[in-house]
Amino acid sequence: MILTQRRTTILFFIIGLVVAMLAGWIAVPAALYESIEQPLGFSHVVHTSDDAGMECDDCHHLTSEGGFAGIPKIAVCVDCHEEAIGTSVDELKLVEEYIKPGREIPWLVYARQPDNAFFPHVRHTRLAKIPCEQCHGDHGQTETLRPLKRNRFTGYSRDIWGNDFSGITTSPPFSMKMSDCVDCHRKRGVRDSCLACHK
Amino acid sequence: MGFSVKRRDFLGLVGGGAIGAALSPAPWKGLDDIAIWTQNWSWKPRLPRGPVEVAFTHCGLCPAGCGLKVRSVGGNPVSIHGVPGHPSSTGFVCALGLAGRYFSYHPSRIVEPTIVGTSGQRRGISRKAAVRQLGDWLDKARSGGGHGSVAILDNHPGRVRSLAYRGWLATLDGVHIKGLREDTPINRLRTMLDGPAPELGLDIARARTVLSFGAPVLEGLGSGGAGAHLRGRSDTEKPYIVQIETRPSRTARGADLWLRIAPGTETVLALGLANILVSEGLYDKEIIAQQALDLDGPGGYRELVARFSPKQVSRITGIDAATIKKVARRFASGPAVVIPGVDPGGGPLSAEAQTAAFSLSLLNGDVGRPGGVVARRAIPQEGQLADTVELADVPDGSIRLLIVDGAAGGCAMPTSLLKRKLNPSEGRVVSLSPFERSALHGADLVIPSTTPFENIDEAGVPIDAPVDSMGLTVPSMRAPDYSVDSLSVLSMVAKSSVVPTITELLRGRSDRIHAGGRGSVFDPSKGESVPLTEFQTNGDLWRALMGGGLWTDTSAAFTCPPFRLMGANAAIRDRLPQALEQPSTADRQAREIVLMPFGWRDAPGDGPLPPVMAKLFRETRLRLDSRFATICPKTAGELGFAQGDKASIKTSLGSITVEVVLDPAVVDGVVHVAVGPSTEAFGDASPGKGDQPLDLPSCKNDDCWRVIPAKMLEVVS
Ligand code: SF4
Repeated sequence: MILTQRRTTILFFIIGLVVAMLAGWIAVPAALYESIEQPLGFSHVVHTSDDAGMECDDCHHLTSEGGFAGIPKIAVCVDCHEEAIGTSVDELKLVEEYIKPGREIPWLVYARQPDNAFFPHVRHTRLAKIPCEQCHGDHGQTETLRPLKRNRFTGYSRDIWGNDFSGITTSPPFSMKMSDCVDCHRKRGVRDSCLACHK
Repeated sequence: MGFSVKRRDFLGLVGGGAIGAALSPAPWKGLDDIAIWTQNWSWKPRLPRGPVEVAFTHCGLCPAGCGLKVRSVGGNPVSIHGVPGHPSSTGFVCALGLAGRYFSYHPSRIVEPTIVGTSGQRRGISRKAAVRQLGDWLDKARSGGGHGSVAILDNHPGRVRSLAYRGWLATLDGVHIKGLREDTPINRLRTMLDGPAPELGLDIARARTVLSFGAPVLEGLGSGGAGAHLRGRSDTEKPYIVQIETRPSRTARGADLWLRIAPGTETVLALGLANILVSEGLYDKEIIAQQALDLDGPGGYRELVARFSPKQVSRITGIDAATIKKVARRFASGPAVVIPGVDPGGGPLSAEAQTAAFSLSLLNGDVGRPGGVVARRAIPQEGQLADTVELADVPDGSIRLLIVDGAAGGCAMPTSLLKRKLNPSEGRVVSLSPFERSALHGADLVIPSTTPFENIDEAGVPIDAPVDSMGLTVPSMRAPDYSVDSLSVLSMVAKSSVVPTITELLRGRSDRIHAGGRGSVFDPSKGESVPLTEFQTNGDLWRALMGGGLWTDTSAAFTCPPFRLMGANAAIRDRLPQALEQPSTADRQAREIVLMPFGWRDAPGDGPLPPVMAKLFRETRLRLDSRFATICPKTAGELGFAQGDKASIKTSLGSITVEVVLDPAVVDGVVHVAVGPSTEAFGDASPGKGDQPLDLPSCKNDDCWRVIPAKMLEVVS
């Protein structure tokens, strides 16, 4: 009788353990992040293919001031897409909804850092020679734009915490939390005081 | 056999759940998210997003008018930098200017007009009611008083805005009063010249020697960058700086020679130096023979300085005779600049000390020669203007309505000094300051104006600029609706006269400069200057100025006119020999001390400070604020004080409580207290919060509060 009772308790323990782990690893991440589609489909591969012949920094370049121009404005797209190229839904949407009325495309930024973080791309890419892929992944090789996963609680993109919910990332794209910045700065012997990033 | 869940099973389930949760990232992620969430409450202010823009302007926070590069996001400035190659600031920006954008959100910002009611309490009123009240007081002041019953205290005189004030005051028979600035003493030199004198500037960059009576030469005097520039120059290039001061200021420590002078004995030292120049024939004999009107004869300058022998001077000033001789000979060896400094908190030297100091420039033939005192060419002005006077020259009790301009002049002054000038029964003060300041508690009406980053105005011409210039403080943020430009206030109350807008005035000056065709214009985006003649139209020049450009004039040849070495003012002349009556340093009574208030150049008085300055004052104590008194260990020991003790400093007007800080570099018998900021009361200027040593001085007739007899007493708790 006692043995049976103990077994039942163990069973309940295991049920609790498994349910909590499943919730922690699967249900919480699914519930925590909302998935938001980009306003327009976009293929990096098509643009960087031999046909289009574009380089990454045709659109994502550093300005003469050293700032990062980020996502291009439609003024860049208009060079080729003043008239629709092809008949895809996205192409027509681009021309009719954005290029013709002169509206900027409200792209969702995966790597948007909070306002209080100062991140000079020029120092990281030119001086520290960190490849873009280290933080942004192999974005240039994607066929489509994945939806932005936004934390319902904080509003941050999932890319900041890292794609792996455990917060442990072993291969690019690496997470972009403050602790990641501090670790990397320490590893490279770079100043890691508060004022280095929070001006 | 039925299945029943026991308490133990339930605990097993909870325990398993807890361990399972701990083995998943959810709790750790939850903690992280909560931390972020608390920083991102929806009601927290957020930086707007928008296009990143870079614009050039000038700083209007003090008369140095440094060139600024302002980076804005979505129309909001987010960072401020200096402009390399800028003709006056040379890329420099002080701590105040760097954080200047915070002023618009400062907690001490006044957000509505206020008036002191019959109960003595300040209460908010509408702008319309405030302007109506100002109009009523204006009518009353005009009907009840004569010349000078209406006055404007202009903290930044010399701008086109000042000309508009003077034009308006001319219609009211009012007076335009110059607020205290670091270039105030140069007017003393102008009064020593016989006949009309042009605007004068100091050519520090080309001087061989700088004789500074307490001026913050290396801390940013004049054009902010000059001090940094002087510090960075090699010894062979830079002038030999002699600093005459009681306090171990940054300039004193960085000077080539620091003369630790006994308090209040600058007149004696200046006349002692003159004694050596005259007795050793080291003065400019040609100029003196031709232009000096009062060298010889009974009661002449020669007779005066003969009494100031090195031995006598040494006895009173505490500086040894050999050093005095050495300084005099160095001074006479080439062009020199004498600066009877205005301390940002300690105010000007006495009138006789200024006169004695400038007599050295005249003796040395430095007025009108490069590396000395140079003349600036004037841009012609039009219209009838009221006189501009020094506050000291305003008769006591004469003002019935005083309007205080909201500009920052860079110097603090005791409120008692202003109060003395007001009519005791009917004197009213209307302040146009954008910020709450304890000095304002004496104002009957406050109409908040714009801050320097919100309004267009003219940047200053620094004291060390050898030529005239024009730069604009181009607004980099929108002025809030509750603030108003001071000229708009005047135009609302002006019934018959028409007050021009600030833009019309600035445009007018720009057009006159263009018509003159002289000088060059600095382009901050390229870092180079081009001759004005290359600007085809007056519109081109205006656009360049609106883009943060700086026009600088060409220098003018100036022949020094006849002058009086002892000045034209008989009262000052009579006081000069009395300087010898001061006790010698040896005769100083033990336990007798003097309070010498001083100010930090970028933070004098109780004006607002950006939060980042808290690091300089409150957190690191790199700078001591008004809660600390610096005193030498010997004097402190005689008075029974040790490091860290609390002390009460008493003058005839009241007392302040301070913490004692020992510094062997301070001159014996002196206690230095900073005039602000009161970092205990950051952002709070309510009465009693911003205890300032400037509430204490009782000013002498010549409006000098540099050296105040005081007592230092133990605080009985
Ligand atoms: S020195 Fe004066 S003008 Fe220059 S940055 Fe500082 S406050 Fe502004």
